[in-house]
Amino acid sequence: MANFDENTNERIERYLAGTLSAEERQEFEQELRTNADLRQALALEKESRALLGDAPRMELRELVAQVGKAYHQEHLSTKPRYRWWWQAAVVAVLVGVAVVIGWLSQNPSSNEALFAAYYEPYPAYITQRSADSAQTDPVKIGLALYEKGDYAAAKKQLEQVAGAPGQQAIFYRGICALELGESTAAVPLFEQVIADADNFYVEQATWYLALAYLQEGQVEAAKQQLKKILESPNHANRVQAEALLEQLSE
Amino acid sequence: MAEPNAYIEGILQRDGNTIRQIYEECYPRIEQFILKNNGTASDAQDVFQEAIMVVYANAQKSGFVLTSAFYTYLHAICRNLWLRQLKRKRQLRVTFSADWEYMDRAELETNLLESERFELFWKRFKALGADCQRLLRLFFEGASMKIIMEKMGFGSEGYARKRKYQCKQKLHELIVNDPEYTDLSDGQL
Repeated sequence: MANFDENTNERIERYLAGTLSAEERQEFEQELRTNADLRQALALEKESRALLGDAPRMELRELVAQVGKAYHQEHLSTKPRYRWWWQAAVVAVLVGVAVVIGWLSQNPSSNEALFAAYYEPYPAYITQRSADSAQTDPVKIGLALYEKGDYAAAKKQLEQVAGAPGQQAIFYRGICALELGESTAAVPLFEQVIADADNFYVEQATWYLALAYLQEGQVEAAKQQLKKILESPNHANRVQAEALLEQLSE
Repeated sequence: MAEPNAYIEGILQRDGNTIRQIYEECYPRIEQFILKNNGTASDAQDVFQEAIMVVYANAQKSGFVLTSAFYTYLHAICRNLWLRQLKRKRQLRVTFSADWEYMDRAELETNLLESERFELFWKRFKALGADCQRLLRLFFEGASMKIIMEKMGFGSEGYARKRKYQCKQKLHELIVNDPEYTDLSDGQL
């Protein structure tokens, strides 16, 4: 950005205030057409006024920053203790799960038991700004039914998404299928989400695909899928995948 | 957790207790989400604050109705903001056409871009000295040079004008030299 002298700055301000003479204004507008730096300076001036001159918004931003600072300062001193307890709790829960699963694995229907122990439906993320399309949009209706636990109706609704459905609809159809015990239908749906690779459900789909294989009784496929999850150090379901793989390998 | 619209109302009223409550209720889970997705605690703090400002901007629009739980809504905004940041910083191969979060695409992108630009301007504004911040707040809110001179305790309007020019130049330099300034131009995301 070019540094403008005080006079040019003054002209910009007077242009915006509408206090330039007709001749000065014409000259300024002529210069704007050929001078990119001047156009940028004018745009910056206008945007600064619009954004930083919005007093309520600025006050709220200050407030959020202050509250955030206080919150983080207070939690900084308590965090290590929190972490210690949290880690202890995780260890306790995992030991508990291992004991229960160890007992369940003696049972002939251990795959189903393992599935039940590890499976939980993915939360429905429905975000709406207005009620306008909530009544007609098949995805929104489908997710609302999903949230209520009516998986059969949700699945039917999500199948009606016209055109090329987004990966979100396909992913939730897969979960509905798992809920309905239709793992054979769930597998290709999760595979489709993973193959697309260009969406935010890939990670979740890799975990649910492993569970779908498990529900279907394809233990080897489930183990392979879990091993793939363990290749990702930050996978959200890494801890569960590790524990489940161990159980399946016993 | 309070009624979702009580949070919205509290944000619109700029109520510190509401903001605090939102922190207590929502921040730890948002931080976990950001940490799990290649972010740091500092990223989480920034995204969280920015998301509250997005809620504010959206809630001001006529016809705004929050039909989901407040946390669900805030989480979705944080996800969107964070994904856009990852995309800008690391060129992640992610597009909104993938429909990963079901929102009106055009509306979402316009809202977030404006909020992200506000955040950029605000951060750079906060990098100025306290006097410059005070002076520019007055100027951008439309105060005359006479008022600025009086409120700032300057000796003359001429000096007030000079200081205003210097502060504004500094601010604009900081903004334009921020890599995000170009990244957040129309059509970049």
